Amino acid sequence: MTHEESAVSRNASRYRWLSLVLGFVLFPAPAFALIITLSFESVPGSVPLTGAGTPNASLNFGSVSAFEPLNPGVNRTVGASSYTISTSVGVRVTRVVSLSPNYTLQARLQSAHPLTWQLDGVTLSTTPVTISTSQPFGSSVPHMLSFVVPYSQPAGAVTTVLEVTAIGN
Amino acid sequence: MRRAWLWLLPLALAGMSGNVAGQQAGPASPRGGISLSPSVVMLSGQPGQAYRQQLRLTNHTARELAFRLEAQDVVADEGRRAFIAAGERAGSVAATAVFSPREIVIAPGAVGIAEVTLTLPSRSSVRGVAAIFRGQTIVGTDRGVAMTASLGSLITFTLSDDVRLDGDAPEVSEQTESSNLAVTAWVSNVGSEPVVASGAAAFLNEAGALVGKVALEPQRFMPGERLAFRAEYPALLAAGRYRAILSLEYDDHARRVLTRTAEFAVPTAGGDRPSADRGADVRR
Repeated sequence: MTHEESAVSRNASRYRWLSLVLGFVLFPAPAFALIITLSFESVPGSVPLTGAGTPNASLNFGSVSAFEPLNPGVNRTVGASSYTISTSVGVRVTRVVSLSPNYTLQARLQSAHPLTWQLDGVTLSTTPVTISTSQPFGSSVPHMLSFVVPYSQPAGAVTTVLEVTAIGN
Repeated sequence: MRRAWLWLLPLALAGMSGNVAGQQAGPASPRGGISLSPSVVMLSGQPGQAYRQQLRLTNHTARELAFRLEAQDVVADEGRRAFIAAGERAGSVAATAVFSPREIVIAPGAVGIAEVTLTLPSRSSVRGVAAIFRGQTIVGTDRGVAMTASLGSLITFTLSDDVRLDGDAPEVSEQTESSNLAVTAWVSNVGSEPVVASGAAAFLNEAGALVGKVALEPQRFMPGERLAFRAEYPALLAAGRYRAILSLEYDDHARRVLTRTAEFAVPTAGGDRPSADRGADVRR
């Protein structure tokens, strides 16, 4: 290699490094707009949500008991020592220019609760638990929310806070 | 010089994606939800390095929303993806997460910006972290169930060239009056790095002529994760013998390809049931 060629090569190498550094400064991560969104939705035939279409919704099961009539959209299964009350809630997660094929859904209770709560049959606690690892984007996916009431449970209001998390896969 | 211009490509792409996102913010945008960007970040580097990533959460509602930021390790346990609390696993990357700020309140229609700094411990097998905005705003707790939404970004790290996939022999489920013929192949990430694989399934007849091709949606594998690729032939196949070839491309640098084949027969209507004569052959 001649002295001139060597200088040209050094300049080219310097330029390459400069462009590399510039690239990392401007785009430290892949520069694609990867966006996911989440909202709660009412499910036809289930208890309607207050605040449907938003990330902060609520639902009211109404008065429940082992044998009395229930509000529309509330289901009940009766067991030997307890009964289970359930309804469906919709979770809609959408994507915009996302490389994720689907998403993971997690749920937890924000504070401990004396009754057993389940989402799609998965028992909830204050620790996040995975409900599904391959949820489809776009449509509102219904999930069965239920709680188990022992016959020994005294009458009273039942309230809880459910946190639902979507993470792109 | 030409290489330097390559750095303008992300600029152009960023502009394009911004436009796309802008279009989506119209009628197709969430009516009142929250959105997180980026939802996935793929980083490459060395053990011991620190990374800083900006995360943007948009509040599309008419209500002020509060969030607390938290990190979890993303791994695979017995082939399935698992999210582990920070510090519970040796080499936890989530335990190194420093959020700034740790809590954020976002006004209606506004964008909340937080930064997370992650440091990769040496000899850690963890290659993924979920950075989660946990919703703290509760509405309507007086009677019943209040629900609050959280969103998480997946951040993956590639630290070596150990990018490898392996696949089982495909299984063929026969076509019926109500279902199409489908070929399913279980694929495992047997390397130590995250992998995104996608590809196609080609269906050849006995003479070796292509009768159809089905795209396989991309899937992301954490190290040790096992996922199924399923190709459903969209039409009724005529009686005869066929070969399905599933080809998965992965590793952007080395352009590796994993190929699996399955041979099967489609009987004449009312004839014998199809037999699936499965074979496997790997090309990397």
